[in-house]
Amino acid sequence: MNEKLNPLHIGILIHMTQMGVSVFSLPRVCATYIGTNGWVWVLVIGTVVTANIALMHAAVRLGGGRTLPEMLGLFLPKPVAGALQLALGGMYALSACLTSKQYVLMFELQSFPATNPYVFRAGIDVLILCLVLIGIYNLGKAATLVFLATIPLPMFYLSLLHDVKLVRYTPFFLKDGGNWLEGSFEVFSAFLGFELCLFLLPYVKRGDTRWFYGVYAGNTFSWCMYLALTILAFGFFSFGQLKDLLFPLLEMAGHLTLPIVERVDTLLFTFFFLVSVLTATAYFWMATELFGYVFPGVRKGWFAAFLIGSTYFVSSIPNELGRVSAWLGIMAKLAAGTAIFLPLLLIAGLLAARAWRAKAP
Amino acid sequence: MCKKGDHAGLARWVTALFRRNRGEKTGENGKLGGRPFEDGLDEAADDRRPSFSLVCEQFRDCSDLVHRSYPHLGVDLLYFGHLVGPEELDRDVVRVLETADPGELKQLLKRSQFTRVDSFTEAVEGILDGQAVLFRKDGAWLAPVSNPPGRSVEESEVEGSITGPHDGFSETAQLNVALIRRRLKSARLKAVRLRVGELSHTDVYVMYIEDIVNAVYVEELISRIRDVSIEVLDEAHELVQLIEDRPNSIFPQFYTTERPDIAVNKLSQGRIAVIVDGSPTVITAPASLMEFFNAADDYYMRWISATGLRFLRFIAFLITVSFTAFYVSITTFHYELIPRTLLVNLAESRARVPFPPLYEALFMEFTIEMLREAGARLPSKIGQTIGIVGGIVIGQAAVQAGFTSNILIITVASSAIASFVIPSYMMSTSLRLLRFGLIVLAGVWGNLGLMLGFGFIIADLSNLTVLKSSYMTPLAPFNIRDWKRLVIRGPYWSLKERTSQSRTRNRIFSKMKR
Repeated sequence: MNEKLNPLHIGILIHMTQMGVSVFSLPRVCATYIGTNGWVWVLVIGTVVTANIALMHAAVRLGGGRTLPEMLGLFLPKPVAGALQLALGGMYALSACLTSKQYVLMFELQSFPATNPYVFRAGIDVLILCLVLIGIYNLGKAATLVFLATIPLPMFYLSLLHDVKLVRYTPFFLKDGGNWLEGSFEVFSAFLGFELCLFLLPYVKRGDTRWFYGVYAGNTFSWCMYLALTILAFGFFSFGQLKDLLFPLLEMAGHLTLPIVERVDTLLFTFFFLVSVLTATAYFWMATELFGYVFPGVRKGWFAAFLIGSTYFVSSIPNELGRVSAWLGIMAKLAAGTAIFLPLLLIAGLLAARAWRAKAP
Repeated sequence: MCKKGDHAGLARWVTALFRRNRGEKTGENGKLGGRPFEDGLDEAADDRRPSFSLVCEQFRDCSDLVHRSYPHLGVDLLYFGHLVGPEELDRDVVRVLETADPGELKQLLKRSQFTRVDSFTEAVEGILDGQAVLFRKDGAWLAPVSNPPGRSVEESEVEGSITGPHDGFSETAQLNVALIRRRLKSARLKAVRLRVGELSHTDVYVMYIEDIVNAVYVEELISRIRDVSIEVLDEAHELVQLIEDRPNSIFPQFYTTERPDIAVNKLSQGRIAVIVDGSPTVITAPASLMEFFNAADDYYMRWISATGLRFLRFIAFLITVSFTAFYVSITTFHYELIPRTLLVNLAESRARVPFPPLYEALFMEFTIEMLREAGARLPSKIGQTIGIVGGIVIGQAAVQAGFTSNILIITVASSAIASFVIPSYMMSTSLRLLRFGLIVLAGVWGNLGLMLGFGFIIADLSNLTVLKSSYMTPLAPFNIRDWKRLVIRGPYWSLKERTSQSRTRNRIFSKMKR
């Protein structure tokens, strides 16, 4: 009984891949780069991301049921298509590894200042390997379980509503910001993960045309959550405070107190571990798929082990949070560029291939 | 080949499939007839005509075989004395033979209680099944007087019920089949008999309701049982481990019960029940994780109370798996999580303990597990003593001696009690073992280790299937309609459909209106 992904699970998968530790710093990014009422930029970038997904949807529809490498193979020479896929795979794998490393370093900052992070990461990488090996359908199930376990957590923030002051939403929009282009990239990178939809076609029911609505739904859910949390942070902290705080949403959680738990922020961040792991896993899975397409004779499990092992060592080069964030920033820009230009390349290539075939005798 | 979802004639198809693959003859009512000698002891004897001397030779050195001779009729009777019912033997065979004239014997043997056997194998098999075999020069006849010793219907000690029926399955397969049939008076309830074990030839009944069950599940299950190659099959739990999808997982994948009402409930939901002779446990499949937190009483209580109890079990699940590990984690690494009011008490309690929380917790958990294991194996009177000794040792002496802290005692005791709240003993045992892994991870890496452990559990659960259907349904794949049956216990008017895991075409279970 080969089960296939349905739109609901695709939506959850996309949402869980998009959610990452960058959400905790999103209000700071909006305040620093965009300015007062920077939360509006989440609205703007969310629209851009939705348009980006629509481009991917168009590419997939133009492909007529073909997978990503099949589509590339229609208009690119095989070695070029292979090299492109390997480069994409390497980029996704390194992004995944840096994401998990960023989480570990953040956790280390909070709770384990004296512990060597390499051992943590080795343990996490074993878990990621296990999750990659179970395949995308079962990963969808794991994402659903984690989603159900973590979805009540943002509700904690609602208890902070009484500390939100309307005066902090100044009547001035987008003042005192910085480089808005840089900020746009950073906000866009918080939405990254939706490119997973380009790889899901072989795992959905043949002939099902509704599956892509799951991608839109997942992205919209992430969008709404980012927007709500950013608006809340802009009303909770003053504009100046937001610029100074490294992770404003964690700081907000620090103001929460429960009768049985003192520091809710630590607990919240702990629960976020599985969300972070799922993001990294989805990226590793994409990388494994790309490598698998190029070398179809080799088992994908070997690629997963190779990619996770090799990126473990590569990502050991940046050894503190600032450097990791800088590396991750570069990777995010590359991934964002890929997310925008890959569907454009596919659409242009597929249309050209179609025109060429129509002309051919 | 039967198509998926094609329920019509399923029993005939399954039986035919079995016949085809084994080359066996089919008996009446879907039962499978002749059984080849798979142990290879005397395979050559298959085609020979049944004769008294051959059968006696086969059973040489079997001192429990009874031989009765009726020289005036030229009849020899063979049977195992402890496998036949004395009354049945006396009424149906002995009295008939003792009062019969040689001339009328031929007519007597045409009576329905005697079945002529044509092969040596059938005769030997009949004796092993507890039947009596009559030998004459011109042939052999079986008399169905089997009544092997066995326990009568008693209440299950493992699965108690407060409001529901109190009868439980016993070790006799046919009695167990009868307990189910008594509750499901339908010709659509099928019982396919298989035999497992090259030496034990254990009867295994696969029961299902035609038109409700999905034929693909039946095909898969029968195929797996048929593929079991083992000399002796003792117990249903043994069979489970031989046919499950992933034997290396820590979680039990087939639901097992000792209660006929639960088995009937599962059958009516489109599941398959497997009865193993010699075992009071009945296997039902396919199963999901949520089913292990459902109890029979849930359906006899008012739905609000039953739903409350289910949530209590889910909380117990979390407590038993993670409470001690969480204690270890926060007392080792995350003191900042403890409320200030509790912090002083905890610090005072921990101050006298010389060991790190990890060792302290492992010591206590091992002690509790040893007490539980000792209590389970000992007779009940001694078991009580163990409980008292354990209570004093754990409750007072360990704290006074500075071995453990008071709060750990509460934590460990809560975890132990929570594990017994879970209705399934198999699931409870698995969860208790998982707890140790999480304690070690929490002791080494704190909350991160705890989450890492949960990550591995989620990875395992997501990958688990039962008869190739998802183990985590209705959570993942998410199916909100099944929640009212498996997660909460919805009111009866809302339980209109069977669960999606049954993959039945006949989904309507109830036509009740509110």
